Amino acid sequence: MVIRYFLTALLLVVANADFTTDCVACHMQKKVDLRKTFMNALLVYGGENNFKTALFYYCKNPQPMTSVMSEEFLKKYLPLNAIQIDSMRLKKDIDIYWEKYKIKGNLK
Amino acid sequence: MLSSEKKVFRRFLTVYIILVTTVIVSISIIYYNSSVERINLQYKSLMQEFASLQIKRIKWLHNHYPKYNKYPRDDRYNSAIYDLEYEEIFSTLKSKNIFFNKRLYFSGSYAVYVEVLSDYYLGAKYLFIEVPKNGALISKVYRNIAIFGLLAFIILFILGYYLAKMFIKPMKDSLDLLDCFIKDTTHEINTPISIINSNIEMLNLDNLSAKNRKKIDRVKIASRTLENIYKDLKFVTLSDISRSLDSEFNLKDLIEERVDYFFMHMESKKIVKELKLEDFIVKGDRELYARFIDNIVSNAIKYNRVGGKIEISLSNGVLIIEDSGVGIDKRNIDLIFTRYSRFSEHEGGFGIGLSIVKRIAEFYNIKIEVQSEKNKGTRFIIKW
Repeated sequence: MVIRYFLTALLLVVANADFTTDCVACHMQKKVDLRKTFMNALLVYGGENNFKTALFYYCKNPQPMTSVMSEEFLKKYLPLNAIQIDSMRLKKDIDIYWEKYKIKGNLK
Repeated sequence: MLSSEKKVFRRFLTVYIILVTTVIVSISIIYYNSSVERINLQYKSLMQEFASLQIKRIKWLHNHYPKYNKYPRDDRYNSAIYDLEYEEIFSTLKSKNIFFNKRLYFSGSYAVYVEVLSDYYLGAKYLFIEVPKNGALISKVYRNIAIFGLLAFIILFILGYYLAKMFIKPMKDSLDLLDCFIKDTTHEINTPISIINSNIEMLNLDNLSAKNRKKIDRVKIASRTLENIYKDLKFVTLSDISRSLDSEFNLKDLIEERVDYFFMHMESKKIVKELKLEDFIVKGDRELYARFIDNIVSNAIKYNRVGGKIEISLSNGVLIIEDSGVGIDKRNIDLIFTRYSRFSEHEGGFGIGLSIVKRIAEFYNIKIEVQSEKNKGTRFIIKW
């Protein structure tokens, strides 16, 4: 049981490390608030599955039309480049992103 | 009021009441539906205002999250937000039932309004607004239906009662006229009948030829028939049944006496009689019982064929009078005891004989069963 908890915790740490490397680092560099981006995406995509699916396809094929980023950001960083991360890893990153900023369970 | 008049009166009133009730119920349903629609509109209008307010608050919270993370609440209503995958984000609702495909619904003691959001603030697509149901509104509708429905029913019932009276008035007038006519006729034929009977009895038949004796017999039959009609009419129009003249007597003796009375009538139609009578003591007015027997026997003779048969048996309180006459149509059997009802155009009469039988039977609690077959005969089974 202890080993099981330990392994789960280890996996989470590793996954969080991937998220930090894959997402946070770049967003920090471009000075784009991850929470603000999350709220913008939530406003458009709503539910968890819809949000995750939309974000996954956006990361793989970013288009200005489907982007939730500001006009200034798009002007600055066009053309948008697809994220070169393994699909499985990207999905895990998106899961962590959702869990980190989701609204459900965080309202009082 | 005669039983036939009562029947018509009751039938008219029943049809009228069914009609009135249907109309009142239909109007009540229309009123109820329109009232419910009006109440729903009131709820909708109020809850739409609350929904607009709540959307503004949710929008504000979306823009200021997570600095502010307290879900907006209001004393006037409860609310909940659900995402497009029908997952609850936050809820202060009291009602447990959630319907996403309705705009307004009632759950327990709450009214719930559903607003679909175009922008998913806080990830919400569905906003639920819940207010306590105002029971007084629908109670007022029920009260109005009960009060006005009852009032309308009473007024229309009274109106229907007078309409029914108006409806049967021509029939009542005709029957009253017939009663008056019978009463007057009864009064007028009494004396001539008595004179005919007494004079016939005084005749010395020994001095008459066989041919003339036969003629006198026919006069006797005719005068007895008249006497019988007179007694029936007198019973119908002048007498009230009472137990003051009740006495115990042997029914067998009375039957033999009455059959003997009709001897000449039977002879004239060559009807064969067959009596199997046992002693049976009954208590009642002998004259009334005579009317009772006379009417059944005279019918058995009147509607019998020439050369027919009449069988009368009395055993263990069951009297059976059976003829081999024309019989009665099955659909008319229930109607034969109705006053002034006649089912044969060939024979005369007022149609009162069997109504007298029924009246006497009801008075003495005698049960009568009629079995009849067209062109074969009729059987009266009388039980004490």
